[in-house]
Formats: sequence, C-alpha cells, structure tokens
Amino acid sequence: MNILAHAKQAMPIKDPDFGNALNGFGKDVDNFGAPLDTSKRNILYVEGITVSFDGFRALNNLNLYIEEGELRCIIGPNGAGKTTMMDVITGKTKPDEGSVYFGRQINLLELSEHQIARGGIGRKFQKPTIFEALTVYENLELATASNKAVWWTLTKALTSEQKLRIDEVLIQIGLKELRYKNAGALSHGQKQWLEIGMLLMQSPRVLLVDEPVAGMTGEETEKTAELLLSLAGKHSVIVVEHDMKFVRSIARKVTVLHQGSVLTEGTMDQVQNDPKVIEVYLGE
Amino acid sequence: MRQIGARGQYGNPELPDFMVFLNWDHLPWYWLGFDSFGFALLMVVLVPGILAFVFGWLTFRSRVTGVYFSIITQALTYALMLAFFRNEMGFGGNNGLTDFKDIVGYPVTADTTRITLFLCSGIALMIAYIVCRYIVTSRFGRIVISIRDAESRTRFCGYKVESYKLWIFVFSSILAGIAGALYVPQVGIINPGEFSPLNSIELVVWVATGGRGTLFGAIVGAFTVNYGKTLFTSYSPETWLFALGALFVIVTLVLPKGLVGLFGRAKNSESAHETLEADNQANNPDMVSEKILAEEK
Repeated sequence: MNILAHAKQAMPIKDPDFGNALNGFGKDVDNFGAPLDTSKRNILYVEGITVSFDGFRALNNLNLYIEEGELRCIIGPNGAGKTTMMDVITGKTKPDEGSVYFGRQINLLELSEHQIARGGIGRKFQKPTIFEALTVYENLELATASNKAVWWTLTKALTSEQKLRIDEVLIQIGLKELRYKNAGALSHGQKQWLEIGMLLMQSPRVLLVDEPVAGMTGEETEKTAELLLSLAGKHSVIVVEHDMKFVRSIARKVTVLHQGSVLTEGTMDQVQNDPKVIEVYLGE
Repeated sequence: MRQIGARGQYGNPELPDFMVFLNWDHLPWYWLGFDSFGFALLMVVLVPGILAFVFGWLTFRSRVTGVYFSIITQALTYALMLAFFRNEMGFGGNNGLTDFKDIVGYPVTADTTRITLFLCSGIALMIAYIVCRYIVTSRFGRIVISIRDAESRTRFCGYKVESYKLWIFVFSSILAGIAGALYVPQVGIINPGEFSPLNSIELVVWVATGGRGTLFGAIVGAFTVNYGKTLFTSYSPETWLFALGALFVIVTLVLPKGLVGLFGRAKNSESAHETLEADNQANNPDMVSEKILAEEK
C-alpha cells in the first residue's frame, strides 16, 4: 500500500460535526457511514505517522498493524512515543503525516474523539480516570453504548438490556459487591478495573490500555492479567506497559518502540534476545 | 416602557422619557414590538438564550475551560456594561430605565401588583427548582458531573462534551433572564451598573454560603446573604462590601459545604454511619448544575 497516497497535513483539532450542534440535540447515534471492513484480518492500520511537538519528533514514521482479536503488548523506554501513539489513534492528537485506518474504510484522522469512541475504540488512561463522585454502577451506566445526544440523556433511561449488560461487566471486573459504592472510595487496583469495565460498556472492537498494572500489588496484577487475557479474542487489545514481568505473563506478540518508531516486533523471547533491544534498554 | 409615551414628563406620544431626554428623534428598531407584553415575555427567554448559545458555541468549541472560561464571561459582561453606559445604545445610558408606570395595565406601585409580582417570583423559583432537580437527577445530570470530574474521560466515553456544556449554559442563562425580568418591575429601576463584576461575585457568595453542590443551598444562601445585606446596608452602608468579603472568606474556611452542610453535619454526628453520609453528600448530583450556574454568572 502506498503510504504517501494517504499522507495528510497536520490540522488543528476541531470537531467536524460541532457545527450541527442543533442536530446533535436530537437523534445522534454512532455511525461512520461505512461498515467496519476487516476482511484482510487487520482491524487497525497505522501507517507512516509522524508527530512533532516544537521540533521534537514524538513519533517518527510509525507503522503498526493490529489484527482482529489480537492481544498486543507495546513496550519501550520513556519518551518512545507510546502515549502519543494512543493519542493519535483516539483522535486527541492530529499527526503531521501518515494515516490511521480502522478497518479498511474508516479514516480515523477525519473523526473527533467522541466519534472514534462511539465507533468502537476504547481507551484507558495511564492514571486511572473514573468519575469519582459517582457510584461504580453510575460510572458504568455513563459508559454504556447508547444514544449519547443531549436530549436523549435528558429524557430516556437505559433499557433493561443495557442494565443486564452492566451487571455482566460488574461480574467480569469483579466489582459486583461494590456497585453502589462511590468510585472515589475504591482502591487503586479497583479503579483500574472499573476503568476497563467502562471501556467494555462501550462494546469496543479495539481496547487501548495504557499501563494497566502501574502501582498494583502482585495479586492485583495477576487478576488484571487474567482479565486482559479473557478479553482478547472478543476484542483487539493493545497494552502499553513498563512492567516486563507482566508483559511476559500476557504477551503473545510484542512491539518495541524506540524514538517514535518501531524497533522490532516478535514474541517476548525474540524481542528480549534482539541485540537492538538490549542496546536501547541497557545502553551501549 | 414603550407604553409610557404620552404619560411621561415630556409627553412624547412615540418615545419614552429617557429617549426624549437623550435627544432621540425616533424609536430604534430593536425597541419595536416591545409594546406587546407577549413579545416582551418571549424576548426575556430568547435574548439571553441566543446570546448564551452564540457565546457558548464559540468558546466551548475552542475548548476554553475552567478559570479561563470564567474570565471570558466576566469580560463579556464588563464589555456589555461599557456598551450600555453609552447613550447611543438606546437603553438610557448611565441612568438606565426607570419610572415604570404599569405592567399589563396594573400600576407597578400598587400593593396588589407588588404582591402578585412577588408571588410570581416565588412560583418561578419553585418551577426552576423542579426543572433543575429533574436535570441533575437525569442521566444528563450525571454526565455533566462526569465532565466536571474528568472531561477527557467523558469525551472518550463517546460524549460530545461541548454540546452538554453548551445546553446547560443556555439553560442557566435563560433562568437568569427570567430572574432579571422579575427583578426589574419590583425594584423599579435597571441601569448598566448591574453588569458590574461585583454582582457576579455576590452570586458566588450566595452559593458558597448556602452550600456548594446543592440546589437547595443556593436558595438558602440567596435568602440569608440578601437578608444580611438589607440589615447591614441600613446600619452602615460603607462597610457592606467588607462584610461580604469577610463572609466569603469565613464560609470558605469554616463551612466548606455552606449552611446546608451544617445541617448535614448535625445529622451525621447523630448517626453512626458518618462516612456513608459523607459519601452520599459528595455524591449529591446537585453539585454540578449549581457550579455551572455560579460559573455562568
């Protein structure tokens, strides 16, 4: 595929359909206008992405392909561009060059954050970000895939089907007993799981998970590994993580980023024995 | 205002006194239609609503948030104040609008009219409370809380944050518009001085005193502070501003949850479930709309 053909100029973040604020007041469902085409097995195509901040190249001609249902770990030293890559995929940062396609048809660079989220790409932040003033249940309620237009949320409650789905996810993330507890009162690990649960409520095709086990105890880390492994297959899961032990316990395929581009890809053993990787991690 | 015409000091059949006084020879276009009560009522809702929509649309779209947004709204009111001070605006300049004679045929100074207007204010307050209550307990209300606590999380949950901000901003400005329309006939005068930043600060003090994060607290605060103001300004008007400032500092330091929080605390010490209660309070969905209302002002 010709990368240059898809090259796009950097543009300031603006919401393409915000001009239709009045339309958005009524019916406003997630639709990309094209079905998700994964006939070539890949669900996400990141090609030739370059992002510069004041001359510093956070991403430098990055290429990454994610298969449907795959669990992919992305590792790399600090400043390798891991978080910037997630920002590009979720629409938070627009790249200077390159293209990001969801399936073979949908150009993510043309969409805004909420559209990408509605369309099936969920993101967990590095720092657990949940709504602390609300209960666990309400957190999941808000994340539920449903009509998210203003008028709808003002007048309609969730359907019983959607409520069942919340119960399912509560069991899946192990927070069923804590459903009426304030999210702010959860432990650090529980907050991380709640955030993963919120992603699941969006019924995403792709999950981007940024450092899920940072600050977790050993037991919590194990539970998280189980949770992520159980999600792979149904969803494509991309995990960015520093903790090598954790990566080893879940990894099937590992991508190593360095200075904004892919250094190498392969199984954990291949990657760990790669001289380039050893050089980057241990210095010369 | 428009109906005063011939009955004013100057007795001009077309123009109210202040326009004659300020040498207007014809009625400016934007006063047309205001001799109809229904039209005026409609404008009470439409003018602030549209102003807020345009202003909110521009600022929220550029993702202006938090303290910067507050500063911009303050700047906007200040700019309006300066504009309305100019006689050429056609709103009476420095003196504003006064000398109201009657409202839908009833004299404004008569006791019955005054009582009716007061009752109208009471009813408007109740309706506004019920509507606000509905909004904050709906899913919409919880989404607005989410935006307050974690804006980008809300965005990545698939919500168009800007639309939510915009509509709640428009709603609160319409409420403010209705409040203003009830205020003027009861006070009898309105001038651009009311645009001054001091008023915005006073509103914040009401909410802080009554209890941030609750709808009821805002009402309690408005009554308490204004009662205090009435007492204070009749004894020593010069010190009122100092008292207001002191009140704000004391409330923030001693009563972070305001007067309403005081009741909550009394309840807590009685019951054994102290933490539970505190949780419930922190969870009070009223918080946001109030905060937004306060910010908006």
